[in-house]
Amino acid sequence: MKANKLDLTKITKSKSKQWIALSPHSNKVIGQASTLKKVLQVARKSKIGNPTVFKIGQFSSSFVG
Amino acid sequence: MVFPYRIVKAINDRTYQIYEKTLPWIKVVIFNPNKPRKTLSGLCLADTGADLTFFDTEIGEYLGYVTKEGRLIELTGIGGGVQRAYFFEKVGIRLEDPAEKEKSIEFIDRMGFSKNNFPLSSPQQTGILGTVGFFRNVNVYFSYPEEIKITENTNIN
Repeated sequence: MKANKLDLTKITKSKSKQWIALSPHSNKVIGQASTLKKVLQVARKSKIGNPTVFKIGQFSSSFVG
Repeated sequence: MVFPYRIVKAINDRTYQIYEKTLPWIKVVIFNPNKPRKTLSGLCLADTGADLTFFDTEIGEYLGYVTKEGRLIELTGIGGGVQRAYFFEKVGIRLEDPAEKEKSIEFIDRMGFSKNNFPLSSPQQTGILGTVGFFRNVNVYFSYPEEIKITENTNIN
């Protein structure tokens, strides 16, 4: 299985939009919001089924340990 | 079942250049065994260095946990940073085969929900899958940079 690309370069990164919903069968971003409840509401409106959610922080070149 | 590594492509917050990193982020379905109809699919970090498994506080609330009623534990990171989380003896995880061929793997274990937000410097803010709560329930074979193979651990179940 090949690694799965998750392109976040087009999303608006801000503290108020940390939750992201992805389409359940692809890595397409279908919603972004400040809270989990809100991002699930946005995803439900798109009627694509049960979304996969995640919350993003900062991306930098530093290493995490 | 086999999960892909995620190649996360994002804008570097410091340099504003394109940042690409191959990360062991896997999709898990989290549930409250006392309210099993409400589930949440989340992309979490498989972290072999973490002792415990915990998720963002909003996930606990969404699943019906009164997070402050859990046992408060301090988790110390390698840099000395402290993260506090409320732990419960019964939190469920279900792993669904991305290829939809194999039977799901489901287990209930001790897991927690963060007291506060994760450190902003961490790219992953959803959940950390550690030994208790995750790795002791499954056998995991990391084949960087492509796939993560997971089977049920029958040693303790």
